[in-house]
Amino acid sequence: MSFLKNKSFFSKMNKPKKIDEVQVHPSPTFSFDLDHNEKQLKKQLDLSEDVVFHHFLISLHTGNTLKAILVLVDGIINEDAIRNNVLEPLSDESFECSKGELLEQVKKKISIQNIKKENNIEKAIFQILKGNTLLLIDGFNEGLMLVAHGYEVRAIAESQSERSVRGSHEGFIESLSNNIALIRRRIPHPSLKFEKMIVGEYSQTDISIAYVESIADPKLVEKVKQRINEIKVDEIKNSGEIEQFIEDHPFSIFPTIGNTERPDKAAALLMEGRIIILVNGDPVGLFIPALFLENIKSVEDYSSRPYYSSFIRLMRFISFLISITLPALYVTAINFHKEMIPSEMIIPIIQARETVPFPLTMEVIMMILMFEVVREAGVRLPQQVGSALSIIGALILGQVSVSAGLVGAPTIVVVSISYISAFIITSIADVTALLRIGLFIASSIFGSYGLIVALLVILTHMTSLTSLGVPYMAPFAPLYFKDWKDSLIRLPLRWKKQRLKSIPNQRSTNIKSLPKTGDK
Amino acid sequence: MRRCSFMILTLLLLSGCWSSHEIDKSALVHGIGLDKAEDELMISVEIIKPTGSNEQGSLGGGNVQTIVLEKKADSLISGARGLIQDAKRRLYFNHARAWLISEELAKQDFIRLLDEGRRNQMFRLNSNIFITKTNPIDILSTSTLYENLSSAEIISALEQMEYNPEFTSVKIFEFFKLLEGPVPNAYLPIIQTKEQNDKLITSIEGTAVINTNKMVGRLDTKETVGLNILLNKAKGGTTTVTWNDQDKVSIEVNKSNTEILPTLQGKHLKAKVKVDVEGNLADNMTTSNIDEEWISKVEKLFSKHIEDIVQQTLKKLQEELKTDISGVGIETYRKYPKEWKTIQAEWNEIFSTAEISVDVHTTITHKGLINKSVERDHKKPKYPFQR
Repeated sequence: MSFLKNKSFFSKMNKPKKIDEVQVHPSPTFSFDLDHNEKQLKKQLDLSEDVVFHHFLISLHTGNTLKAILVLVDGIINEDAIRNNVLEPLSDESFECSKGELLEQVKKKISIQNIKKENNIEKAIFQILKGNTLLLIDGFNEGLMLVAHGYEVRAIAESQSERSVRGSHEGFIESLSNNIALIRRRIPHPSLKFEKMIVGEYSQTDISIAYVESIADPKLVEKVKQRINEIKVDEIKNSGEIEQFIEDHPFSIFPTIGNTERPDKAAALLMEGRIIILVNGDPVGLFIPALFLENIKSVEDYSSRPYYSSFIRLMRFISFLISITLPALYVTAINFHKEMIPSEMIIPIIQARETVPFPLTMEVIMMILMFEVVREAGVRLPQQVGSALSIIGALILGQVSVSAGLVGAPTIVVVSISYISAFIITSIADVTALLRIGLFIASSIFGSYGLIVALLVILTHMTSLTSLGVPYMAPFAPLYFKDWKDSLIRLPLRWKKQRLKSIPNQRSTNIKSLPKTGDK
Repeated sequence: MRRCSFMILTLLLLSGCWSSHEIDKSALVHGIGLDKAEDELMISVEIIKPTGSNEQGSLGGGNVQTIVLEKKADSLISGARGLIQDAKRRLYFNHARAWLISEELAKQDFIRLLDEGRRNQMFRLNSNIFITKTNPIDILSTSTLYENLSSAEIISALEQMEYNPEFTSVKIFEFFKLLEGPVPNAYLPIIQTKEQNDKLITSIEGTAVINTNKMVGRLDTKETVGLNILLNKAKGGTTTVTWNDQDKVSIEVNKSNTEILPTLQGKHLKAKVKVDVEGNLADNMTTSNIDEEWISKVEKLFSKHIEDIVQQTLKKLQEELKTDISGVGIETYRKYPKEWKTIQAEWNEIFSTAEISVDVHTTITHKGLINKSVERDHKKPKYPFQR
């Protein structure tokens, strides 16, 4: 936990680095000569075989014809729309207008929703590469940008990492416009805004910032927009990069920006006054602010009755504690405080330890690392080899190592319980894995003293965290007592008439009135 | 960064894992025995044997899982350290749950030998303490019935006191509380071996009476019941009386409450022991019909019987042992705290000459599922379609 101590070191690193900015020379515009324009475009695009230059003729009523080119990228355009709505009307009919009005006439004939005029070659190229189609006609220094992209998208399916029993089974997909539609369908209110931004010089990644204008805190929205604007990179690979670029504490092991793959959760978060960031090409949306408490909450908690939801939330919290402390407590009890083990339990523990050739610390570390390897292998392994993994994992690690006397059975039980408990709170499973090892090392050196000091350091660190200015440990630190209704336990929805105070918002009332209870 | 790593490195230098001790390099003692060996102390320990879990084989019976060692030493702690020679591992007394003290040692001034048990943080104050008739090593090496360790088995017996008032259970902190209380006498359960079906088993039989710092005598099983009633610790168990000099009737006690009401006149003590017993009819070997009259007669018989038991115990304590472990002293101290200072020194004398009357009141609340024990003149239900 040493990263807390030396602030000056990190503040040096926080300073924005100088990026070699690509010099933007005055960008060339289209000329009146079609051949020249084509050459200009080909200069940059001709080595790419996916770029198609489609030549055709436009006939005028005077009998003359005009050369025209469609520039498009094969595979990311809507071919049907271009063929039926652009090429057909343009080649069939002859235009009855003067040459000056031709562009307007063409625009009217083409039945595509979004048509823009473009005269900047640089911009036009980027537009083409993003799936738009450029129509150039001889004699005009402007091209028509036809927005008709169409590419294969994955069908909307349930998210594999966030499943639900009672609730929506839709999940975000890789297409940004579909994801926006998924959220819009849930909040069809004019106040829900999706602001578009483009990040990445090469990747030109579309990013959409969603928020409900009348609920979300405008200062927070401004802050998010400003931070994203300040990102000057060549490429954005996924939403995780955006997360790490804009978060307050990039060196903490705790994530202070949340993520979800569920549109219903995203909509619910928006209604709490949060901001969602959607990144094109990534089915994972980010949400800001994210509090620690988020990890033990689930959308489904609100659809079932409060009693079981509260129980499950408490279980999640206790599991988190068990998961990070159990191996540490185990080594503390056995190596430092033998009196803490119940007398009835000591006999099997001693007998298991006797045959093991390694010191306890090494035994547990070995098991933790092996479990981590099996877990990682299970995530990445192709399904065909999956059965081999489960045989090795269950048999070799579990049974054979015990009967061979390499590992004691209590150690396996302790490490397994620790891992299983972490699976109940998947959103911070990575943090749990690190904390488990950290606490274990601290307590294997210093005993229960080390464990307590390490826990205090973690707690102090957690309370010092903020998620874009919002305290990470709210509503416990700072204390928002009213929010406790929906924290470790969830009281009936009727009693929760206000929005959470932990999340800054402009509209505090959530429930205005409800039907009376009972049959009266 | 440099400062940061320097801080971590110095932290590691500050203290190492000095208090860390691998469990497979330590010997955990489960039972401690103390005996007299000429001028020295004979210390015996029962160590949990760390057999590999796959060698367990036969569970229960036979002490395959213990190691019993013996060592002569001047004191408990020097013996514990000296035993490393034999045990080859450092002894840990964190799990010592049974202390066995031989009768021979107990008849001397043995309390001071137990000082270590409270002074060292390693020992548990909630471990049980017993007196043995012979060398404690005999008890520790007796084969067990179910548990892995003899000392664990003895202790598990004490948890069953709810159903049997025939033995007492004293933990170290209770023992010292008695000795440091107004009446510095104590009692400890006696454990001995007995043969049954050609097999030695351990059994708790009777109670040792300790006056100030040495054992002065013992109460047998029946007198122990009386002691438990006096101490208000008899909360269960069965009692049997004879009806009409031949048949037996038993009750299972549910509730029992004892109150001691002392009256001090100068140096003369009069005390009244009031016992309320509530129980169910458990066993009726008589042929009589059970009605209210019969029950009230039986209740009187039980009251008389219990009174006899208590009187017998008191007689032994007053006349033979002249030691008050009955709780009369504590009640007197509570009622006459001022006068107590003047009589404390000669309390055992006052107790032995005290007039103590016992008044038992028994109530039978349930008679069980059947009425008479054998009903021969049953009336069979009439068969409805009989000709």
